[in-house]
Amino acid sequence: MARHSRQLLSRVALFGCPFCLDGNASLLTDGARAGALVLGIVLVGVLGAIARFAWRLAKAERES
Amino acid sequence: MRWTDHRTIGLQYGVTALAFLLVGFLLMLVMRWQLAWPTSPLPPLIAAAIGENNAPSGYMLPEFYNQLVAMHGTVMIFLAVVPLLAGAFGNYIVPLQIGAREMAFPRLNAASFWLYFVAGVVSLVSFFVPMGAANSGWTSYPPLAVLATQGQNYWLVAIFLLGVSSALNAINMIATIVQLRADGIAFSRMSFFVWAQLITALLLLLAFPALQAAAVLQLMDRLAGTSFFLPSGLYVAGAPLQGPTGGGNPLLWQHLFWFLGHPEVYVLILPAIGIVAEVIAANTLKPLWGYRAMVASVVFIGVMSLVVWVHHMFLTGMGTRLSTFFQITTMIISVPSVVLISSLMLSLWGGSIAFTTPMLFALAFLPMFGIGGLTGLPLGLAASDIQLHDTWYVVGHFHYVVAPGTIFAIFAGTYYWFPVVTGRAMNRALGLVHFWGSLLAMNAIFLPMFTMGLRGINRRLYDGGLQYTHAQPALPVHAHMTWAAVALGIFQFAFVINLVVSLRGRTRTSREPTERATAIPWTYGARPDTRISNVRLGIWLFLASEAMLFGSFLSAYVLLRAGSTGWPDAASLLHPASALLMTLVLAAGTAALSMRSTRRIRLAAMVSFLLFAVFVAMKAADYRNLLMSGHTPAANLLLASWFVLTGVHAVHVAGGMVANLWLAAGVGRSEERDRARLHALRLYWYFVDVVWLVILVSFYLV
Repeated sequence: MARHSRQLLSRVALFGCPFCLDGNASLLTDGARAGALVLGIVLVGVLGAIARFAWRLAKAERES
Repeated sequence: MRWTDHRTIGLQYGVTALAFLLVGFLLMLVMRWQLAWPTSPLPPLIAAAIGENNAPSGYMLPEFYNQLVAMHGTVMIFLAVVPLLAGAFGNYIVPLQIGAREMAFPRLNAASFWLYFVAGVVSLVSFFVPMGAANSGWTSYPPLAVLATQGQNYWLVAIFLLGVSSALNAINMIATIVQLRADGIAFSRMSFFVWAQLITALLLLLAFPALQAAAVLQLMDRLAGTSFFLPSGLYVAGAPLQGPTGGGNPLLWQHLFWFLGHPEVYVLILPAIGIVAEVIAANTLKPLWGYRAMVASVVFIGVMSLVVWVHHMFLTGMGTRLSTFFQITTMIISVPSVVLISSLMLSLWGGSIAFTTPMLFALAFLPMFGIGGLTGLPLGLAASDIQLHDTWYVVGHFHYVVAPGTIFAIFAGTYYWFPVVTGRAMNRALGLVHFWGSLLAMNAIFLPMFTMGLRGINRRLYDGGLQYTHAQPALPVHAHMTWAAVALGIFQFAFVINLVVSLRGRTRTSREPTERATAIPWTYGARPDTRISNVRLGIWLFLASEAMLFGSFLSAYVLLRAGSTGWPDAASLLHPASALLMTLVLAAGTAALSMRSTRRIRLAAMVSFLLFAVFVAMKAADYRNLLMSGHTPAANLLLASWFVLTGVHAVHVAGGMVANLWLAAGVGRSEERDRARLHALRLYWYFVDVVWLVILVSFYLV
């Protein structure tokens, strides 16, 4: 898992986002994708925290 | 009456937003008159209202038409429709439906309304400043908006205030729904209207900070001479632009704007669907069909709406892979929308349908929103969007969603809940005149826009296309549309008269028929403890919004830096030693609040206050040194980013210092309350510290 994550990260850093890369532009040189990546990471973190809280609430409701 | 009562605030939002709806409507009428008869002078009354400066000899100047376009969109979306849905209906109805006596934070709720009110005043005042209001469209795209007249500054300030107001309202709504539900109202049994309000609040909380960040950056471009949105080598009126250093990216604004802009569409439509669901359930006397699928759809839409924004930017020349990704997400998000509308249609099946006035508006909403949604599909596909994007087709699509869509839902909700608010029912005959008149007039206005768009007629022409051969056959249609708009205005008199007459009428009605309307029975079992206090949940929600704000600023910084070919060296311009020292002071201030004993809260609050004051003083000295040595924000994008990011951070430090004083002043009344406040403040300072570290790392180490 760790090795896979490292490979994915290195691919992102060197060649660009594996999901939305257009050609040979890299995240290090393409501003828009780099900016989107930063906001995306923050968004995923915030949504993840909200989802975790919602899951906890739903679980408590199911058990009550 | 209490100013913090949720009913009072709901009514305040309702009355104020209806007034703004009227303003937006009047702006549209003037605009439509110009489009219909561009070669004739305006009627004397309109010309006198506009003034000789904007309409010499009664002929409207193109510059003033641009103001009308920008302010019509701004007023309608930000000051009328969203506040009506989230502010008025949300504040008034949600606590009643979940059995809460009050919102979670009543004073914040009042602050949210007054901030909205001030933002509205700032927007309208801009018409009276030299050169008038904002004139770069409701989207305020740079470079045009950066170079626009000073009314744009008012627009930006108003948008920022609206963002703060929305965040406060959203925090309140989410905390109220999560924390204050009465026993028996589990999430699985909450009314669909409350679900729609919950997701709407989450969208406002997470998406609006991006536009707030963009507004700050554009204000910096306009007032401090930075170039966040100004590229190099820009020519204006045939001459190179003097002053700004350039190097910025106009598309950065579009990304940040539409990151809010698309979720805003769902902010406009989800509560409207919630209202329609309530009205249909009550007027068919049966529960909603597919309640669970509808809730799942609304949650799915909430998440997906954050990853479709680029479909507004297909014209910017992105590559095929990127556009394919956003075309796919756009097509995907249409599926849950269809689930919602289909469920509402199926809810009619087998019901005992009462064709009351609110039900007529709710029934009309379904096909009208359907037309708006289906005509949006070609705009979600790049190949057709590129042809249609700048035409009237887009105006028709959007208005079908919002005018006979959302505004019909607002009318449905007003007729439906009027007895709950006043104890009186609205007049049915006047309601029928209002409904049928509005339905016919709205279709007469917006339906021709599709054919005009398919003819290729541009939507931004102040003369309606007078100078273009291909637009000639469509010019008479503008006159028909304008007369339909006038008729629409006349039919609204029936609504206004109905409101006044019904309010003053002596006939009281039972509130029971509408109160029983909630389709889901909520008297089973007990609601489990959420194991979190209101204050703690509130601060977490606030920090989520703040994370998106700083995330947007950092995203802008990274976008500009990664896209730059000659980014300056930070170490040569900034002072790492002083930044390190400031980090230690900030951390010490936070550590002072981290003691375990709550008996010395006041002392800890004051010690940390002093340390944070030292931090702010050091920051001020750092700014002074930079400015004295000629390193102004306008010098290059690195310094511009540094000033903005650290400046916004410093504002947060100052805000936290005020909170420290608030904590110290309130100590002693209740140990439990003191502990909750201390914990909330600690969380805030941990967040402020982490943001500072991220800023330092991104400037010095990366």
